[in-house]
Amino acid sequence: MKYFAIALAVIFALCAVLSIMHPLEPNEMTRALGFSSDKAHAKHPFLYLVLAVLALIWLRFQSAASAR
Amino acid sequence: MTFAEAMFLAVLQGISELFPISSLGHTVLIPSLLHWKVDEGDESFLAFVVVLHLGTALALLTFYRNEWVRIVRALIGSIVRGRLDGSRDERLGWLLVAGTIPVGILGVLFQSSVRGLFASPIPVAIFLMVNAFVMFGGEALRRRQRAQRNRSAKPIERVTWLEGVGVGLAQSLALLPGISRSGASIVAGLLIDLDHEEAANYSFLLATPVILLASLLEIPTLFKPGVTIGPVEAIAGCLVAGITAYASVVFLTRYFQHNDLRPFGWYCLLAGAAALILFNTKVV
Repeated sequence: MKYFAIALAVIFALCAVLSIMHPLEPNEMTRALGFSSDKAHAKHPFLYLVLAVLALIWLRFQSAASAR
Repeated sequence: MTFAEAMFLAVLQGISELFPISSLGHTVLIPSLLHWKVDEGDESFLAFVVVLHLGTALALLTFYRNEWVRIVRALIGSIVRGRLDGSRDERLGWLLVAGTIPVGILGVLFQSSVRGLFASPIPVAIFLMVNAFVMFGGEALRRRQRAQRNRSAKPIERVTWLEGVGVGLAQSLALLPGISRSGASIVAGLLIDLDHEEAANYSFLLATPVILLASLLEIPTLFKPGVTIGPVEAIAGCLVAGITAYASVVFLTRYFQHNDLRPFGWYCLLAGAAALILFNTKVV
């Protein structure tokens, strides 16, 4: 599960970067995910960063549990 | 929008955000019924709504300030220790985090498209009636559960993680204008065996980070070019919405000590049906 938490953190961090740069062609999917180039997205990067931090907190719980 | 209309909207927002009657539904229906010249996609209107939400969130934070201080302390403590110690505040804190994740994801990803599809008077009137049946159904299911299992309500610290996520998911039904956030989450709370008071408190605590973060992230809207909302209107709107929301949460936490959701269900059913008839018969 530790590796799953790390993978989630990396994926959400990448999503945050993508939504800050928003480089993709606008369509329903890229608009919903906040990756579309038609406007700047404020909520999407925040959501992805929060999810990445939560994945890291989950990792912290897992690491502490295996150290005990 | 005149100053009087703005203050009326502030009172409406403060009440309907926390009462299980759908604030978004009322924000769509009332201006249409009263023939206000309000463009709900206009930047100034959206900026004013942000201010009203901020007032509501601050009222909730003020009312539950002691609870939030204990929850945040417990959350930080558990992260530092790297384990849960099983205290009520810690459990409640992580349940709130677990419940906020689904509504956060669904809200950010789908809010615009869902509102674009349904934020007009007739769908809202229909969803308001659906909201009524959600509350009637929730109360009926709860009574049946209690009769079959013959057990009393459980405290919040006995709620499982899955149940916590379920209440959060129920809250996301409020993306549909006309479905109440607090109504859906109180019903979900009742179905996992919380009593009305505990379910209402949990619902209001769950709503606080969502409303606060959503309004804080929308604050840049206030400074967009073309936004005509003045500082007096903004401050007055925030204050009025905050005071009304505070009064609402004081009333509701007392109300749910001894009462249930059915009166709100009747209100939503009648208001939805009346709006549907008025709009369909072109009376308004």
